[in-house]
Amino acid sequence: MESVLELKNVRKNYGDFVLDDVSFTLPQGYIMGLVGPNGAGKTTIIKLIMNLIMKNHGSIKIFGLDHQEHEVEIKARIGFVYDLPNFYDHLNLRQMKNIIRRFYRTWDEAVFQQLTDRFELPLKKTMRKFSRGMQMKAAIAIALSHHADFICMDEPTSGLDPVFRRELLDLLYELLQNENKSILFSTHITSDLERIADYITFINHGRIVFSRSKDEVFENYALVKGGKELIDAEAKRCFAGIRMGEFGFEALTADVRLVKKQFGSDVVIDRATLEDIMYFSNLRGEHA
Amino acid sequence: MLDLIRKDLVIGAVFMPAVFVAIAFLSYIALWVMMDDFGGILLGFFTLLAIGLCTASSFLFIAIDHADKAELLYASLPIRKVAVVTARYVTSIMMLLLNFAIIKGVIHSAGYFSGGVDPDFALLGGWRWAVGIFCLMILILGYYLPFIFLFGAGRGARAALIVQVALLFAPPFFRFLLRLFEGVIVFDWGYFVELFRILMQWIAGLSKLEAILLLVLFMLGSMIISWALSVVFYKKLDL
Repeated sequence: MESVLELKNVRKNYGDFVLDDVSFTLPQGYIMGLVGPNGAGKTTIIKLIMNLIMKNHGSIKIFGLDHQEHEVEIKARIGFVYDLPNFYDHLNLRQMKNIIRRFYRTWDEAVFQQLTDRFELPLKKTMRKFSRGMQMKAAIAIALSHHADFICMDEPTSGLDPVFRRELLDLLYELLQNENKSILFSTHITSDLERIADYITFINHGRIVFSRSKDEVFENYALVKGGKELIDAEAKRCFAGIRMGEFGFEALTADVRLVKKQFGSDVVIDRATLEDIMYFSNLRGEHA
Repeated sequence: MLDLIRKDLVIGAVFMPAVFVAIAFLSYIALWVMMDDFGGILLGFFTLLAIGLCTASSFLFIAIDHADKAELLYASLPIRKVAVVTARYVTSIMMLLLNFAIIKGVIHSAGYFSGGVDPDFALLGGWRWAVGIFCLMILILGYYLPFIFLFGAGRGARAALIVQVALLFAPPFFRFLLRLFEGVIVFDWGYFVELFRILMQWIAGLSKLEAILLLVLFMLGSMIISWALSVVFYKKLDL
C-alpha cells in the first residue's frame, strides 16, 4: 500500500520535553487520528511534518519525498489547519483568502465559495469578529480549497459546537470517499476518532504507544473489571494501566487472550473506548 | 516573492498611513520646538530622532505578523524560506525608504516655511546627510533582522537590543578590566590605535564622492551578509 506520510525514528528535543523515536505510516486514502493527552506531543508531530520545527533525528517522508528537500512541492499538496487561529485580525475573510490563494496554483475559487456558503461564513466581516468556531471553519475552508492530497489538522474540532463537529467529520469522510485524500488529524476528543478514523496513533509523554488500524485497536484493547484479591505482581503484568477501587479494580489490557487465560470467568471484560485507552495508558505513565 | 511583498502591503495598508502621519508630525514638531525654544536645530538630536522613528517603524510588518501569530501561517504555505527572508528585507527597506522620504519632506517644508533661517537646514537638506543617514539606518536594520530570524520576532528584538547595549558598554568595561588587572594582563593598544589612524588617514584622503561610494559599498556588503545569515537562521528556526 502506497503511503502518504512516513515518520521513522523521529526525535525532537526541547530540553524539558522530548519527542522520542516516533515512527508511523499513513497509507494513501485513509484517515489517521493522532490522539493523546494535552502535552503528549501531538502538535510537535504536526509541526515536524509541516517543517515548522527542526527534527534532531530521523526521517519524515510525505508523498515519498523528504519533507525538507522537497518542502515547496510537498506543501503545495497539503492543506493545513492549526489549533490556534493565525489569521490577520484586521483583515476580512475575503482579504485573507486573496492573500493565501496566490500561493496555490491549484486554488479553486468555486470550492472556496461552496465551503463558505456551506459553513455560513461572512466574507466581509473582520477575522477579529469571528468566533473561535468560525475561525476554525474559515481555516478548514481555506485548507480544502486547493485540492490538497493530504490534509493535516491540529485539533480541528476543539472549540467547535457538537453540530459543526459532526458536520466537519462528515465532510472529511465525504472527501475521503469521493477524492481519495489522506487525512491526519490530532485531537483529544476521542469520540471524533471512533467515528471516522481508519488508523489511530496514540502518543503519550512524547512516545508512540501504538499506531494501528482502528479495528486492531478495538480487537486488542479491552477493559477488565474484577475483585481486588485478584491483583498481585504477576497479574499486574497483564495490564497497560490499572485503577484500584475500594472493592475492586478496573484495568486496561492490550492482550485480551492473556487476560482470559489468566483470570477466566473471574473478571468481566468490556470493550475499551479510546478514552479508556488514553486514561489508563496515562495512569501507567504517571506511576511508572 | 512578489506575493509575499504584496501580502505585507495588504496587511500594512491600514497601519501605514497612521505611521506616516506620526513620523511627519513628530519630526515637524521636533524641528519647530528646537527652532523656537532652543535657538536652532539640534542636529545630533534630530538625526537620532529621524533614525529612531524610521528604523522602528520599518519593523511594522514584522510586528503585525508577530502580533497575529501569522508566521506559522506563511511558513506552512508552499513558499521557499529564502523567499520569505528576501521579501521581509525588501518590505522593511521599502518602509524605511518611505519613512525617510517623509522626514526629508518635513525638513524641506519646515525649511521653506521658516525661510531657511537655520543654517542646519542646508546640511539636513543636502544629499550627503541623506545618503549617510539612510546607509546607517540600513545597517541598523541589517543588524536587527538576523536576530529576528534566529529567535523569532519578540525574542529576537530583545536579544538584538541586549547585544547592542552590551557592545556599547564593552570598550569601557574592557578598559576597566585592564586597569583592574594591570600588570597581569598586558595589552598593547598601540597596534589598534595605529591601525585606526591609518584607516582614518586613508578615508580623509578620499574625495567626498569616493567616501559616499565606500559607505554605500560597505552598506551593501553588510546587507548581503545580514541577509545570508537570516536565511541560514530562518531555515533552522523553530516556530
